[in-house]
Formats: sequence, C-alpha cells, structure tokens
Amino acid sequence: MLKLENVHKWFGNLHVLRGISMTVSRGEVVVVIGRSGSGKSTILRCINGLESIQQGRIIVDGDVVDAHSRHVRRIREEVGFVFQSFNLFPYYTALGNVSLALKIVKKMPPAQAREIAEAMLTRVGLSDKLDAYPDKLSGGQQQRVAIARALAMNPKLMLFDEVTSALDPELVGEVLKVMQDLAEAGMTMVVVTHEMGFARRVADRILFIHEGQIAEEGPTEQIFAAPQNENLQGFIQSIL
Amino acid sequence: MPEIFIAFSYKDVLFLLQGAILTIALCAMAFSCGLFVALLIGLMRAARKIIVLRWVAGTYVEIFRGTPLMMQIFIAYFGLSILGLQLPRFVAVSVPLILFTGAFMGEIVRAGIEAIPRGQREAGWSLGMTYGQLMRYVVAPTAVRIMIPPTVGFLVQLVKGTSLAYVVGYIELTRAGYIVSQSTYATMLVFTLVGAIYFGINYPLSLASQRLEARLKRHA
Repeated sequence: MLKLENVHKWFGNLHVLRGISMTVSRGEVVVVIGRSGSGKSTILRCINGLESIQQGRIIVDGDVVDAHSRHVRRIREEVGFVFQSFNLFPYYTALGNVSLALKIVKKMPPAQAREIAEAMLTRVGLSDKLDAYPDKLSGGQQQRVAIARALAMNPKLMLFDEVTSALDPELVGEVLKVMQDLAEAGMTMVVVTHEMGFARRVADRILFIHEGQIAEEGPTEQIFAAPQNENLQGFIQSIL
Repeated sequence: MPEIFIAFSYKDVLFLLQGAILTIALCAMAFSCGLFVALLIGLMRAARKIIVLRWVAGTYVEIFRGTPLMMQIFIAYFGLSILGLQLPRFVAVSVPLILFTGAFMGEIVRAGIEAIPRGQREAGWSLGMTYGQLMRYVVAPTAVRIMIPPTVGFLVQLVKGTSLAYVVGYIELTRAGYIVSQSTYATMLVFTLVGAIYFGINYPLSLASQRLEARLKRHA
C-alpha cells in the first residue's frame, strides 16, 4: 500500500529525514511517535507530496510520489490528509467544506456530492451541523469536519498529522473516537500523535523516530512493554 | 448679487457634468481593464517557486508605481510621438492609466493572496486540486474580502487621478472646472461645485464597499 525507500529530506542545510524506509500494508494502522522536531510530521508531508524529497522513493499503491509532477494530484486524491490546525475553508459551511473537492476534483454532480458529504458528516457525528460555518464550531467539531472532508474523497490511505495537538483536552476524545472507528472499519492509516493511550489501543505497529531515523519499530505491545532503544525508553518514560 | 455670479449659468453646470461623465468613463475603463493586469501581476508576484515571474512582475510594479502618472502620460503621448509613434489621445491616456492601476491593484491582489494561511492552500492541494481550482475556490473567497478596503481606497485615488487626462487635452471634471472658472471668474463657486461632484462620485463608492464588506462578513 505504502512504501518508503531510503528517503532523505533536507530543509536547506538541515538534514531532517536521514534514510527512512518503511512499509504499510492495506488495512494496517501505523502510529509514528517521537519528540518534537524529530521529523515525524515531515514524513507524512512527503508522502502527500506537500514536501519534496531529495533522495529515495515513496510509493503509494504502486505510484511513485513526485512533488513536482502533475501526477502527484492523482495520488493526493487517493490519500487523505488531516492537519493539526484543521485548515477548514472559512467561507464554506461544513457541508461546503466536505463537498467542494467532490464537485471540482471528482467532478460529481452537486446532488451526489451533497449526499456523500452528508453521509460523511453523519459518520463523524455532525449531522446537525451541516450548515454551520467553521467559526461556529468547536475545535473538535472542526477537526471532525476535516476528517469527513478527507474521507469523502474515498481515500485508500489516511494520514493524520498530530490532529489532536491543537485541541482543548476535553475535545480530544471525540476526535480520537472517530479515528478509532475508522481504524476498526479497516482503513489504512498512518498517525503521528502524542496520544500514547490511543496508540496503545489502536495501533498495529509503532514507529519511533529519532533525529530523522527510525530508531525502533515493532508491534505495539512490544514497543511499550520492552523498548530496546534507550532514546525510546527515555521518551516513553517522559510521556507516561 | 455680485456681478461675477451672473455670468455663471446652468450651461456651465452642464459643462461640468459633461466633464464628470468623462471622469467616470475614464475611471471605469482604467479600473476594469487594470483589474485584469492586476490579477496577472498579483498571481505572478505571489508565485513562490517561479522566481522569473516574480522578478518580472516586481520590476513592472516598481516602475509604474514609482514614477508619476503624469510623466507616464507625457511619455505615452509626447515622448513616443518624438520617436515617430503618435498614439491616439485616447490610447495615450488609457494605457498609462491601465498600467498604473495594474501596478497598484497588483500589489493589493498579491497581499490578498499572501494573507491566506498556508494551511488552507495545503488543505486544497491535499484534496487533489489544481492551481487554478485552488485559487478560484480556496484563495479567492478569502482574498477578495481582504482586498475590498484597499481597493476602494485606490479607486477613490483613481477618480481623482484621472484629472491628469487634461495633459493630452481631455476636458474632464477638473479641467472643465478650470475652464469655467476662467470664463466666469466664479472661482470659489466653480471649484466648490467641482469638489462636490467628486465627492458625489466617491462617497457612494465608499458606501457601497462598506455594504459589501458587511454583507460578506456575515458568512464568516
């Protein structure tokens, strides 16, 4: 489904990703953990072609991702991305946010786009907020609209970039719940998060990123019960 | 009643209004055509990855914003004619006005585009939108709202700026006022009237923009 081969990324002189190789199979939920600035978000952004890579290859469902080609648009249609800061379009209603790309990218007739958008918003528990503008929604509701917006495109892979980090603590649960439902429904997901409880409950596999490299990876239980890498041990201790 | 007011008749008022119509026409022409130039320039200026485009548009803006409009009209009409290219009057005044509008409005367009948080563009990209779709459906709705106040500010300047069309012999409002005051000596009266007419053109523009802003704000 997703494969990274020896991916390197520089921001100017800063060597952010130092040879990342990983694979994610269909239906798998992989959680990426690590300290701030370790490069975990950059991995997601490269997978979606929001950042270009300088070395290595990223393959999504058989297609090579090249941030500079027109082709990258087709890959993006198949990869849903949910951002830390929601990034809803402020002058569209919840329904408008979800249906916009269906209409203009997927070229669906408005009625069909609306139907799908309604279904997606219902799925994330917002059937009563269809006509609300983003500034009338709480952070948790906005993030759920953003998830619905990505889901509506019927992606094969969903990327979540610290989607609960900007939320008030009491709103985190409702977003994680939606993500857990999604995982249980068999969606392939790569999740960057600091929510260790969520990682433990939902992840099939954990990747620990340290200074731009995968310092340790393994099944969820093993990572939490018996971490080998001393940076990972320190990280887990500092979080729990 | 003092003698100087007697010479001033309704014919003079009609003459001023004719000038006002020319002022409005020049302004409407310069603004509508200049807006296309501005859109192009603004998009070029905001192009983050293509440096040549940014540089070309930047140079254009600096030249047309950094030199007096009067000089631009002079060069277009008299300067080019010395070089053997005699532009028709209308062209010699329209082209500088359009390019001048393009430079100022181009910066307003650029500022509007750049004010959109990066995350919103990225959200658009991540949904598979093309550059054109992103600009039209994601950037424009926010950018247009940001652009309204400075645009009206510029438009008001432009209404007054069209008075420079007298350089090539057009009798627009200011010039008409000058001519009437010369022939009637009712200088104070005439220019008060001219001022009132300018105000009568500009004030509705301000009102309309306030209304538009308020109307668009409701959907925020």
